[in-house]
Amino acid sequence: MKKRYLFIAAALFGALSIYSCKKELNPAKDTVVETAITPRYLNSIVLGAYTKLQPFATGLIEDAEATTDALIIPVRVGGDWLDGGEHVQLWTHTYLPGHAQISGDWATLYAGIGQINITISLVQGLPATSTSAASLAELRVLRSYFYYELLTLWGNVPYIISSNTDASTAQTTPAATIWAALVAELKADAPLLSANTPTVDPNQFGRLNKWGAYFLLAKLYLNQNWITGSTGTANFSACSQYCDSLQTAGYTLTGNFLSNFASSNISGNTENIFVIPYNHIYATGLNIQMETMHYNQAAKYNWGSTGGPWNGYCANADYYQTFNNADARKAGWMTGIQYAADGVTPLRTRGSDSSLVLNFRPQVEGFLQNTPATEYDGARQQKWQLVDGYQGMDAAFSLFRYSDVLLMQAECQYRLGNTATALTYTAPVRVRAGLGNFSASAFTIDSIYAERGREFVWEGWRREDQIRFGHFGDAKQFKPVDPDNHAALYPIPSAAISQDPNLKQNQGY
Amino acid sequence: MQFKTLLKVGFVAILLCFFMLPAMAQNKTVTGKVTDSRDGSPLIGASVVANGSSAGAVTDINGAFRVSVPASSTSLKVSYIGYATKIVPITGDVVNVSLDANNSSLTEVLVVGYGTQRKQDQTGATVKVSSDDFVQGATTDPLQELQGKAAGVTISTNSGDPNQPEVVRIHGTASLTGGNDPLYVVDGVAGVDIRTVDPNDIASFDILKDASAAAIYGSRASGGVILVTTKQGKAGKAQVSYNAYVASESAEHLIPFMDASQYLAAFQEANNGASMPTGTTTTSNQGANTNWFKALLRTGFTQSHNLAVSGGTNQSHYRASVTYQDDEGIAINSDRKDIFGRFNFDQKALDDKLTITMGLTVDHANSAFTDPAAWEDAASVPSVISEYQPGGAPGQYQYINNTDENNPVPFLAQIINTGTTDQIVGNLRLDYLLFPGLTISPYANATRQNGTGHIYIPASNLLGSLGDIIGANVADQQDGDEDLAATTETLETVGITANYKTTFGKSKLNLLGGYEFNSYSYSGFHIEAHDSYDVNLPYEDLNSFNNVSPVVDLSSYDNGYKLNSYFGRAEYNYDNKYYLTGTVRYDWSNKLGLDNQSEVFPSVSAAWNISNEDFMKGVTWISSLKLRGGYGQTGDQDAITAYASQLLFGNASSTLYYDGATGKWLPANFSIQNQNPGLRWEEKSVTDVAVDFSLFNGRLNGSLDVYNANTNHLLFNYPVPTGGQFFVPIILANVGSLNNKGIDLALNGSIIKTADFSWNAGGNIAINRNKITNLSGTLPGGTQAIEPYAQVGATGGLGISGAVSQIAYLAQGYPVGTLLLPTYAGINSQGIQMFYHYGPGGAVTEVPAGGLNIGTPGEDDRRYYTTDPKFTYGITNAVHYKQFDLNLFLRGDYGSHAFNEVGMDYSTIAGKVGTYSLVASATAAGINSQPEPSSYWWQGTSFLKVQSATLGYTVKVNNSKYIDRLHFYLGGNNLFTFTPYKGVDPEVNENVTTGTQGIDTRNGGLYPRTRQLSFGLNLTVK
Repeated sequence: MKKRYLFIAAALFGALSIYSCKKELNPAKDTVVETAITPRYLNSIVLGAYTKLQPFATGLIEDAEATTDALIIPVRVGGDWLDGGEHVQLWTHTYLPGHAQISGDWATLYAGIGQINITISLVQGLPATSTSAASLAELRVLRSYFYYELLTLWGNVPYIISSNTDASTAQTTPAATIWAALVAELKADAPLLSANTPTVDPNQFGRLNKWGAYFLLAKLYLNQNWITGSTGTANFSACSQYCDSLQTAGYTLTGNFLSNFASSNISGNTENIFVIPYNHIYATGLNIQMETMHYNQAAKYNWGSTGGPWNGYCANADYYQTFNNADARKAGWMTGIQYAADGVTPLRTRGSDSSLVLNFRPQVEGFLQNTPATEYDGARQQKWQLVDGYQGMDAAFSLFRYSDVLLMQAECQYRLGNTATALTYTAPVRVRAGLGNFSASAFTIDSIYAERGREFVWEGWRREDQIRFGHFGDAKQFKPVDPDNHAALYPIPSAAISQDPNLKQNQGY
Repeated sequence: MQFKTLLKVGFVAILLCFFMLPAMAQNKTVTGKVTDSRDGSPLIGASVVANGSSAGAVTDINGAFRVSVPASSTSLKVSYIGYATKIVPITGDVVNVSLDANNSSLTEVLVVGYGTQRKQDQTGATVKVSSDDFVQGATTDPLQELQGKAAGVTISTNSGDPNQPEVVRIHGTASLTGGNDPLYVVDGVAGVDIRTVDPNDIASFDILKDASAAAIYGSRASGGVILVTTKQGKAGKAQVSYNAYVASESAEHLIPFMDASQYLAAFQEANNGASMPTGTTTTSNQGANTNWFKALLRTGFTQSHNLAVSGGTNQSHYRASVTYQDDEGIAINSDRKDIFGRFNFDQKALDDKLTITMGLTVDHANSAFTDPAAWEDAASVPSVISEYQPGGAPGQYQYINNTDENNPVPFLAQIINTGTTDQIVGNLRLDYLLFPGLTISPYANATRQNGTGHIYIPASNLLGSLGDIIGANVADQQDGDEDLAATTETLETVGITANYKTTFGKSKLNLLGGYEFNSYSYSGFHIEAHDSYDVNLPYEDLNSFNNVSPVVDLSSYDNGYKLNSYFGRAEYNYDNKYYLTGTVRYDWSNKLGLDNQSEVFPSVSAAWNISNEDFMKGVTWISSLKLRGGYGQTGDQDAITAYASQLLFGNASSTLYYDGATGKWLPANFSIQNQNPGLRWEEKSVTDVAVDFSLFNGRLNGSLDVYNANTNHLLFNYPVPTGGQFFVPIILANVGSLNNKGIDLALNGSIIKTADFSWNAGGNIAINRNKITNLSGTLPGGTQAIEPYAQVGATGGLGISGAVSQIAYLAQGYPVGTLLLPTYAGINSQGIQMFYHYGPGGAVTEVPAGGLNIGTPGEDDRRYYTTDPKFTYGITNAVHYKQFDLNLFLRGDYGSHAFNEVGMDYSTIAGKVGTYSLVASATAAGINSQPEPSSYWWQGTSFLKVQSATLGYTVKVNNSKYIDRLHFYLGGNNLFTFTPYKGVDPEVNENVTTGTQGIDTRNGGLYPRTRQLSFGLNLTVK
């Protein structure tokens, strides 16, 4: 009898021992995943990091444009776009650290930087080959672009370049320090990148090549003075040199301005240097058509079941009137009576104005909750080709365009005192738009400022241009002159400070 | 690590102790009969054991027993459920016993983890609800039987969808990331989906409310444990029972929206007397008067048929049961059908030393789902718009394309959205009496659940590109789309327990030790296919779809985890006066972070049975009085999924990268989850003190529980700064803590008790105070994270987005379900809503929405508003008069609030009328300012529901040879709700994981609740 009991006890003890060993095993499935190092894998992480740019076309563009004279988002009749006053605060430069859109863009940028940093450490873990060296350089250049956005929007930010850094205790780095680090890194990395344009090597499409790095260097030098507090014109000479190099790279202006924003621009475009490729199925972040078109235009573009457009972004008359009728770029604006799919039946507004024909006017006659804009106030932007039936659009969103190289060069030459040379660079841009070049007598620095305003509508440059040209604090419709210049840098979001108490708030907040 | 070794050694030592105890002795045989003291009728299946040992037998169909007891035994203990246990001396070879029926619930046997316990021996907070006490009438879901029956157990229905499960909370919300649902253990099988259990089969629920009772389930128990015992066969003649009902279902309440005349009047008033233009466009007056909710609703027909056969002998019992149940629901094309089958069998062998218990359960469920967006559309489209195309063919639905809102009817009428669930559960258990007192019980069970999903969006211009959001080209948008999914879940459990009971002097000791291994695996796939060209058999074959994109249309998963556990319990009882219980469970799981894969969950509890003290002997009005209290720890299994601690890379379907070399869009590989090697279970520590009493000869019973529960190592998707060590902006981490404290009071009285007339009334009331005590903690890498609040959810509507819409917060010092809102100050003469603006230096002014400072919580104009009730309650009444029975059950809460999103979005006439629907109360409300989330919409949701009422009649069958019982009833469920709240129903979102607890959302909150009227019969034949 006893023997039997002992046997059972022994069996139990055995079972206990077997299972207790299991605690040493790996979590979850007891397998070790070994990833084959293939070119496809390398692409999936290196090119995959570029997908972190996809939120830019909405959030970041709003932050970079809606504080300027180019993009107004009034409260509409019915209270649409009130959103707690967020959009009004952008226009009137009254944003505070709790602003949701500003906080969201900070998060977007640092999510991208975090992804790039972890990808760099992954690539560093691969066997060192020339491919991985180039990949590392490319990732660092991409990171520089993210930091460029942070520099121009916030100035003083934590400069984190390793996935081992503790982001919850990182200190604020002064803008000038970051600026210098970016310039040094870009200069070192640019030669490691491909010198082929996407038209020569389609593999470079949507990526930062050597010329993308040069473009970024040109922008850093162009804006050096206001970013770092430096003075003088040495920076314009440096910018000009990079523009010179870019003029030898093989990029040219396209004949048709609008072709840079067409759904087909995903291949064969000679003007775009760096783009974010979008697709209505696979990369759905570009939805400017939803932001700007009127609700009832759903009927024309088959948007009804996507939730329809939102009737938000527009330009006011002051901005719209800077385009003269001969300007080919004016076709980017949509004004006047809008028609249903048949092209004959006029669309109507909705709500209590539903008896009115939908007739977009550039005037924005209301702005605030108690005095809202009508549904048809403001000119709408349609230069990015509209896509029927989907929220997402198909165009590649250009971040760096060759016409910008020409206008940067013009600006540098002007600021260096070479007015005549400057005019040679504005000419191709003006001519392509169907306009004559500026007359030498009427050519001022503000001619270049205004030209940039027409050439890069809603492409994300207006804010830094306004600051550089000294117009950011100017009075405009619904906004008096800024009392000081604190609004030129955004507040560090309160959410970011609560996650990293070491961050220092910008002045004036 | 040291402790685990110690535990292991200790466990084996305990086992070895058992085997060394001497056991053998001579036996004698006693026979006799057990009867009811009232009428002398035999009691079948009563337990007769030698007092102080476990040697015993049960009575047969004639109430007779034959029991072999140790020669040294001097008395027998005779017990039977519902009767007072008697200890009778063994005066000879024949002992006849008559038992007194006892209403005192203290004689009940409670099911506790891995065993049973007499209620009078309980030390933890366990509540038993037996079938006699269930909510009467037609029930389609086991939880409906339990609703409102146990204090501190909140069961709420948040939708009229027959496929939507109830939300169960025991003592409040203890976790922020999931795992607030209780663990269901059905006949010893843990982790069963309660919806797969046939309500007809359930004999009782035993709810382990506090941690001292639940701790033996360790890491799975922090939501509480509900032990379900299914009906077993009884020795004697076979019984066949047939239970059936038919019921009609309709919407209990609808929000009144403006009808056409109200709407046209509102339009005129808003447009200086101008009438709404008539016409055929969907923003003109089409001359219709559509009630969009009624267009989506119908009277549903529900039926249930249950047939059960049971019986047995002294050696074995069986029960087989099959049920067909069809709950149509109130929305067109909604449905749920279940076919349940259960077979329970037990058999004694080896001189009754071995008991083999087996069970096999199957459930096949067929569901038809409805698109929740249809309710939001029904709220949005004005009544003056027609359901059908003006001038179109009869029955041709109108295409409505006013931006957000669509014609909701085709979304329910045309989309096929079905699913099936097949579950099979098998369990086997052996109880072997190794020697008197010691039972060894190995057991094993397995649960397999297969699910399928099938959504077909037919070729229809009314549905637009619904299925084609990821389709390929515009021309194909109106072709059919198919969405197919299949899932498989397998749970396998093996375990063994050893149970030793002994008595020495006045002491009783009951020791339990066990080991259990659980393995979970989950797999499934999902396919979307687009642009069907086959008009006759559009979706039967995926081959007929033109368009499938591998990178976005296909997905699958395959994962799992293991749980490895040791547990033990020691119960000590001195003289039935003093009780002490201790339990311990060690759980290890590979889904936790590598640094923290195991945890020990202890508990200790004690009780003092005051009424058994000598000094209480003379106090006759107290039948029983007991003080008990305990402390225990439990964990939360569900909040952590497989791989949750690991750094994961993956892709998102609409965030592909463009590969210029090939011109293709390819999936990127980016980090989608931060790693947390320290990830561990939440730990809930509960202290519970209670008094149980039974007064006036059992006529008044009750219990009062006071508890205090702290959840530490709270799991939360904590916001982290990205850039450095974190790659995505949240990490699942153990930070913070929360507290629930409260009081449960339950009373049950037998007010009138005569042969012909009886009236039993019961009530329970539960007060729970929930508070987030801390949201800070240590993140992986040692960073101290300090977070006074976290924004978790938002409201929405036209013109409401961004910071102003983000109203759902978790905040230190506030309960879960707290909202951050501007405070409503009043409405001015222009109809503009005004709010308090807090200026510098404490200056308070009244401003319109545009003047509010909304930005940083704690520094802006918003204030916290809580939504928890002050208390919840249930009231039951059972009246019997001759052959009639009447049951009435009411339940409710007091002091709760909700954010009325529908009211906010549809009450402003200006700017909305002409395009949007409006609630009928909008004219009276007179709000001219644009919708703004504020405390105005934070509205009281106290309620009292007539949850069920049944009137039954039992046909006299005294002399029938075959019929045992025949009972008819008329019943009603969710008959009426008394509430000041203007939404669809005062019981709103209770789900913390969606981040919208306390918000009565348009998307989901608008599904009307179901009122059910039923007629049923219960027939038992012998």
